[in-house]
Amino acid sequence: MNLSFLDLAAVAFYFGLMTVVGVLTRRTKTFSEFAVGKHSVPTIMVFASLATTIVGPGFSIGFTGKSWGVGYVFYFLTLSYAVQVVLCGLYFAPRLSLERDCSSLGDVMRKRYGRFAQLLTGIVSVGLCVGFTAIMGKIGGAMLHAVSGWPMELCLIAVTGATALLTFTGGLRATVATEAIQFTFKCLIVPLMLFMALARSPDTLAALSTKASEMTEQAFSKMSGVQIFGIVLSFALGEVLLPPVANRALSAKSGSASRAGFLLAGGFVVAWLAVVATLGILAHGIVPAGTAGDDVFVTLGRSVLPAGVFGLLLAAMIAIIMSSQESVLNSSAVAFVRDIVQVYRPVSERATLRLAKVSTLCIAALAIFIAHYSPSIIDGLIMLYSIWAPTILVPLLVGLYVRQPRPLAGCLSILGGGGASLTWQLMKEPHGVPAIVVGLLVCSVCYAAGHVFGRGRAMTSLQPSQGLTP
Amino acid sequence: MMYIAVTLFPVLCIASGIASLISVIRFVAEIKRDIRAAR
Repeated sequence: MNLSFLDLAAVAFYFGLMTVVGVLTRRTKTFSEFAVGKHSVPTIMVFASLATTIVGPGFSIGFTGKSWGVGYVFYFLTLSYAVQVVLCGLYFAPRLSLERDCSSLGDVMRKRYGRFAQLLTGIVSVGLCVGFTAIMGKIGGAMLHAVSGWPMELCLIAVTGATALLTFTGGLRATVATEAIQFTFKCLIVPLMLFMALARSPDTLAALSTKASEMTEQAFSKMSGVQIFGIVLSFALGEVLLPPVANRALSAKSGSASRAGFLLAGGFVVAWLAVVATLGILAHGIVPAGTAGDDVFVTLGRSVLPAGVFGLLLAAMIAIIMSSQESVLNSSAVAFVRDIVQVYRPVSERATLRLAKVSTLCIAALAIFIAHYSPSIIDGLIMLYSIWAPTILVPLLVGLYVRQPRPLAGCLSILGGGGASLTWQLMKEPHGVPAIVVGLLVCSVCYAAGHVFGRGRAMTSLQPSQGLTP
Repeated sequence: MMYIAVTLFPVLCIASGIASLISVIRFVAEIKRDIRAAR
């Protein structure tokens, strides 16, 4: 792909801006600052950070590719995701924000189910985050490879390495600040692309609307009820309170800031997905008919945006990938230190912060290595979704409301749900029943059994040495 | 659907972007103040 001087200047401007913000916000003195930004993040920053984490490559480039083929089908199915974010904002995020002595989801689980549950949560969180980082890195690497022509190996290192350096230097507050800038980039450039595509489209709006309806109806008629249910459920439950999402709730300055941030993010997802889905429909008539779904977004941008602005779009795309990677890297480092290393062996505040920073770099290196062997993007994401919900979701959400949670219920549900989901995936999902459904079912049964037969445990606050609040 | 998607929704996205830009400027200034105070 040949880029003009203006395009290259726009990309350089973006990286320059990120570096300036990274330098301005780089100083972190305590682990609490690194992990949850001293619980001081205001509403709009919670919203921007959360929305930009949610809107990754799948919900932008991938979504345009889908609507290019099947109209608004995925838009309607994915609305369950927005509903999930809104429900989290109403019921769970404000409760998480009240856990002022917690720096990670593992801490929240420890208060309810004990140390072993924290360790299990830590292992699942870190494994999942490494997987997500690898998949995002792979997408970013492929994009940089297409733009620059550099070897794929170098591109993988450049994308994930740059993100790791930003996360390493400043912790959560720096991550939130850079994410908000990345959010601004996306929010200004992508709608601009929509307006320009609309102006360039050879069809009238009425004709495009009819075409969209036809494509959508045709695609819906080809899908079975089980297929539709599986997709809706995966989007609704697969990412509920993932570590980077839960960290935004923990970092909010109050319960109401957390609630408002989540509600705004849920509303934003509805608007954003409509914009990127519409781009796929507008592309008909502008982009050549045989273009592959995943290439539609970039090809459309190339066709409708002038030199310089296309460079800004590339910057926005890099922002889309880096913002998702940043949050996940920060959360994985925090989970590794708090929920694995520190569970049975206390470490001093200073050593904890150092360890968190070093583990950010190590996890990034591991993700770069794994990216070589990761399956296709969508397969990888669905596999990760099928692990998170059946392990952590039930004990976490129930634990936020139950007065005397049973440690046996927490541990049994994580092990049972995770084991069932993995086994079902290895069996290639018999009868087309998604692994996430089987896993959730087993997890719920295990939780109920553990609650009936286990002994209750009074919930206690974490000590300063455990909670590491200043 | 298409009509809302090319009118209201992009405007909402742009408004979110501008709100985020204003907030991040204030947030970075606050972090800078914190860093100075810590020194």
